[in-house]
Amino acid sequence: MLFNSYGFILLYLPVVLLGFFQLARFSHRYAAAWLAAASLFFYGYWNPAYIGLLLGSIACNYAFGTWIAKAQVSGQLQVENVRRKKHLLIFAIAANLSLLAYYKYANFFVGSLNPLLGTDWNLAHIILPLGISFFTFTQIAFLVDTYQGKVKEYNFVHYMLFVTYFPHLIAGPILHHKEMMPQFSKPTTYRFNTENLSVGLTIFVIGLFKKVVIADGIAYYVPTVFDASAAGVQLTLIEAWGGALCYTLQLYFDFSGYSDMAIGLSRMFGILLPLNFHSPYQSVNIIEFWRRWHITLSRFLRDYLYIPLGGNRKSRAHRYVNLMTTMLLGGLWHGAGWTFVVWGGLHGVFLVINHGWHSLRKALGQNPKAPLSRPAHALAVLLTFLAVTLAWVFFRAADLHTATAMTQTMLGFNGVTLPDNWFTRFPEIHSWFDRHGLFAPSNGLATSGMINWLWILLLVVWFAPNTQTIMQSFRPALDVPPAQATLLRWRANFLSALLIWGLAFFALINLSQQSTFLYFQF
Amino acid sequence: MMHKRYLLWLVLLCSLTLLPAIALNWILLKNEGNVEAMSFAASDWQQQTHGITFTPTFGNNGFFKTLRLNDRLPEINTVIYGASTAMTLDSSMLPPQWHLYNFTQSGSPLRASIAQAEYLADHAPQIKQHIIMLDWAIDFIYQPGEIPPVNLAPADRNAIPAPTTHSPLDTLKEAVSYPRMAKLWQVLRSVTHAPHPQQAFREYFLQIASDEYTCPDGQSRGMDVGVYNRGACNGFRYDGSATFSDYTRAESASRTIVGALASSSMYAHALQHTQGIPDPLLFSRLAALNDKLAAQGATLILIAPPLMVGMEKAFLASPQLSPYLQRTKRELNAWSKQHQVVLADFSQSEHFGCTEDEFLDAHHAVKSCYQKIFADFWQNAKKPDGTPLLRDTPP
Repeated sequence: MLFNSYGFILLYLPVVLLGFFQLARFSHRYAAAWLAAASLFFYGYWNPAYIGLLLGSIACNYAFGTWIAKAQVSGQLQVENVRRKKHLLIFAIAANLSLLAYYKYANFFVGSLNPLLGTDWNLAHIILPLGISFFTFTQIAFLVDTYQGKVKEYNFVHYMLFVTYFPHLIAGPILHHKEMMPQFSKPTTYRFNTENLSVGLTIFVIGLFKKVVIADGIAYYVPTVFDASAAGVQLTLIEAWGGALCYTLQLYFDFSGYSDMAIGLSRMFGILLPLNFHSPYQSVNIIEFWRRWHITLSRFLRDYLYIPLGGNRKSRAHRYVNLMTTMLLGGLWHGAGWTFVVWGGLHGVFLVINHGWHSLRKALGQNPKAPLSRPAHALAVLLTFLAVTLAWVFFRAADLHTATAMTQTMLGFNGVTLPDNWFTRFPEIHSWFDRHGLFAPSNGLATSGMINWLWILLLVVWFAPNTQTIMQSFRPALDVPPAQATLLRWRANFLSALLIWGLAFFALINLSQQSTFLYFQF
Repeated sequence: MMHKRYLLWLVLLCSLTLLPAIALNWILLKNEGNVEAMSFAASDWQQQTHGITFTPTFGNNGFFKTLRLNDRLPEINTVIYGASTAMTLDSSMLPPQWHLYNFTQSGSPLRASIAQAEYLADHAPQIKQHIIMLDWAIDFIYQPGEIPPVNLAPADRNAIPAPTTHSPLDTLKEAVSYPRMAKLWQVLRSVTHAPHPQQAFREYFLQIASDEYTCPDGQSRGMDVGVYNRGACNGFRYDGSATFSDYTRAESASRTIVGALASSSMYAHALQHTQGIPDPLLFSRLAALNDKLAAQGATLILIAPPLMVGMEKAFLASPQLSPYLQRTKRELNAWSKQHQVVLADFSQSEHFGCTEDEFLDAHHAVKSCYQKIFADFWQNAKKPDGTPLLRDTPP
């Protein structure tokens, strides 16, 4: 089931909300169980066959979690206990990763090995269960937290709800046990609250608008460019950049729209989710970008991969190797393909350069965290944005060949020209460009529609306040950074209702062409 | 309290807008659901009144045109086949003894025109002039593929299958969709701007067609089926020609031409991907059709429709495209001479005195341009053997 579908908005959500708060009047346990059951229905609506897989994963991880916890409290021989705990943890994590490896990476590894070994092994087509990367990572975090003694509550219904909770199940945010379980135990969560409903509904509508109107609107221009490049069509510089920028913005509005919807939905039930997006394209460097883009994944990779690898505690060279390893695996987490590995590798390189630059500045007696002048700030944002856009080409392209061809064109290796269908409204300018050889035969891909979408959305991502800034008076999510001043501060009044109604109206009438979220595939 | 009031406002705004909009769209969908029934209604009315009617689906007018052709068959001897490029061609441009039905249909390719003419050659030998449009600019003369047979027999209104019924859920989804909402917005604007809004509301929502009205020319009668462009007499005349009465004109010749010359334009694409070679199958069928018609004492006339003033010259001056277009012209001329087919090339419309404001776009000329062209054409219209095309005086 999709958040952006009539069935979800007009039927599923009202029924689940009503059932939750009605049952909560009798028993909080029943209400939590109802929400978990409704979440399983939400998941099973896509493919009921995988409910068993999800339930099996939950049961096993819960069992391992409780065994690890018991080993911690019941043992008398300290060394023996630590070893047992560690073995249990390693086994549980290995089991989780094996499951993920089978469903997500088996075909990729076999496909990659075949040309190297000259074999022709072929696995049956394995369907990737929706959200498997998310629920596996969520539970690995639970196991590690349990091992480290951070987990305090082992209520099975709450645990099941923590994993299956429908607002986050399929595309995150990736949750920490410690930030969700206390909320499931809190009595106020089970009391209907109009503030939660109005704040949640508002955030949900903003997200719905971002997804349905903006992301799906600009999505129209993306496949034409990438498919043309994959088919061997020689793109012009403008067409290649246009396609890459359209995808950069589509992905942003798709994923941030989804994250807003998840946060908004959860808020309607009185539960706060962690923030996942914070205007990442306003970052002044790649380090900051990863603190603003898919924040919960960055947090997971930092806490459960980068730091266990040694983080920055050893030498500088070690740190850079750890960064590269983390980003390469982070790339692979997004998809079983070399394009994702290269994407992760590119970000690893960007991060290494960024850290190296900071070290150099420190060595020169400068403070890399000091605020930049306005021109320097704008230049830094632009540079970061262009680097991110270039890397997204690998993220989106069907194969490395397509990605390389597109990036070569973007970097000007195929000439710096304009498409010859530009400026046709101004014949004099057109003939001047033509005379000076500035035109190349276009493929008609960089249309005025594309250019209009681009400049408008670039202004939005660079200058407009984000959802949490607009909603700052009502604590929209966990871990929201300090509020920024904005004129667009939401208040529960008629004007806001009018604005949100407008967004809801446009989103609802565009729902008929519903599309899945890009991050569902990860 | 403020949150409760905010939520109430939201619910109220959504209810007051979405629910009535869905209800009205539901009614429009029900009224528009049966295209065949609407085409019959429009055709019956036109047969009775000789008025101008806007068909339910302007982009898919084949059914309506076939009904009209069959009604008109006993009294006509000239048929024009082709796409919208020739829709404005009417009987006033032809010799008085030529009784026309303009059978052109939106997007109808050359292969469909050939099949239609073949059908009428077999079933309606009283048709003595068959005029087929040859559009190089929109790719039709290059398109390969089979020529499927057509059946232009009159449709039996009792045998028309009932329209596909959609589930209430599908109808609801359709009613709330953006295209439907945009259409409803247009309809409501028309209703509010109408001199008699109550009457306009009744016509849109309670009838499948408008009431009969007098066209802006003060003489013709009009009736519109469907919900677009009502009251403008934007539709088909009794002779099958289209009024194109509320279409906007092209911005300027130079802009249109520069756009057409761009390598991604449909015109450039048509030449580039075929290298200007007309499809041989199409032309062998046209040659056979010409022979068959000649044996019946009928004439096949092929017309290359007018293009925006200066456009073809610009193509002939383009280093990349000129060789292809020249090849097309050369092959068409050689073919028409070889098979003794009348071929009238109106592509360079400026030679006939057309002006840039007589075009809707690069390849759609309005009536006044065609009038100038035919006024000139009939002066010297000859068959390939040099004999005059008209035995009598030109119109």
